[in-house]
Amino acid sequence: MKLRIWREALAQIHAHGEQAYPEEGAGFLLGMDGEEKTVTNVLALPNVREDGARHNRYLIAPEDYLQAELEAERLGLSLIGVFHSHPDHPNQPSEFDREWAQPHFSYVITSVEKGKARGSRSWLLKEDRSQFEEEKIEIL
Amino acid sequence: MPIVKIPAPLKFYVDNQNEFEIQGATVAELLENVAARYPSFKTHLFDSNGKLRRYFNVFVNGVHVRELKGVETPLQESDKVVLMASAAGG
Repeated sequence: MKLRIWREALAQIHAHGEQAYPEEGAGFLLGMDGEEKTVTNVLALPNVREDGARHNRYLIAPEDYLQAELEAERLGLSLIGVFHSHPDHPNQPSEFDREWAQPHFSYVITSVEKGKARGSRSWLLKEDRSQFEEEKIEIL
Repeated sequence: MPIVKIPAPLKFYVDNQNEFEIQGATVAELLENVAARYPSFKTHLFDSNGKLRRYFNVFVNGVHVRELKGVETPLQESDKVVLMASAAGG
């Protein structure tokens, strides 16, 4: 399993994680679906979790989700996943991430330590929902 | 018969359909019928307690079911039920 991602898109993910710090930043991955998924665009969106929860939780508003679908359609792309940051925590999915994950979506998680993005990893929910499997990121 | 619309990333489970007609006198019954017709979708639709997974928002004719009667909201023949996923985590 592999997630190909344009360098500029990954840079935007890191920048958004740093801007959101010490809260979690999130958004959608747009690109081409198929045997090999390729992220060409990202759409950073507001984290609408309540005050006091945004340091370790994120939520994208349904209205923004809908707009993201329309934007992907406009660009001739698909929504292929979600990215979010883990402030001062490893870029591994939490139990909460697993509970809320959709199958077939790539989940790119960026660790942001003291305000600086330290790297991203991508995860895919197993079909039985028991855990995530890592998919290697290939930067284009 | 009511129509149910499925989130794009999940249409793989329902023969790649964006939406389809399916019977159900209530939202709960309609969802049970979806799971019965497409068994591989069931794990992603319901949790281990048989409740609709929390990452779904359900709308009937554009109104969120929490503003109606939840999954017990009755359905009419011409109703459109939209299953919308959430993007959330921690």
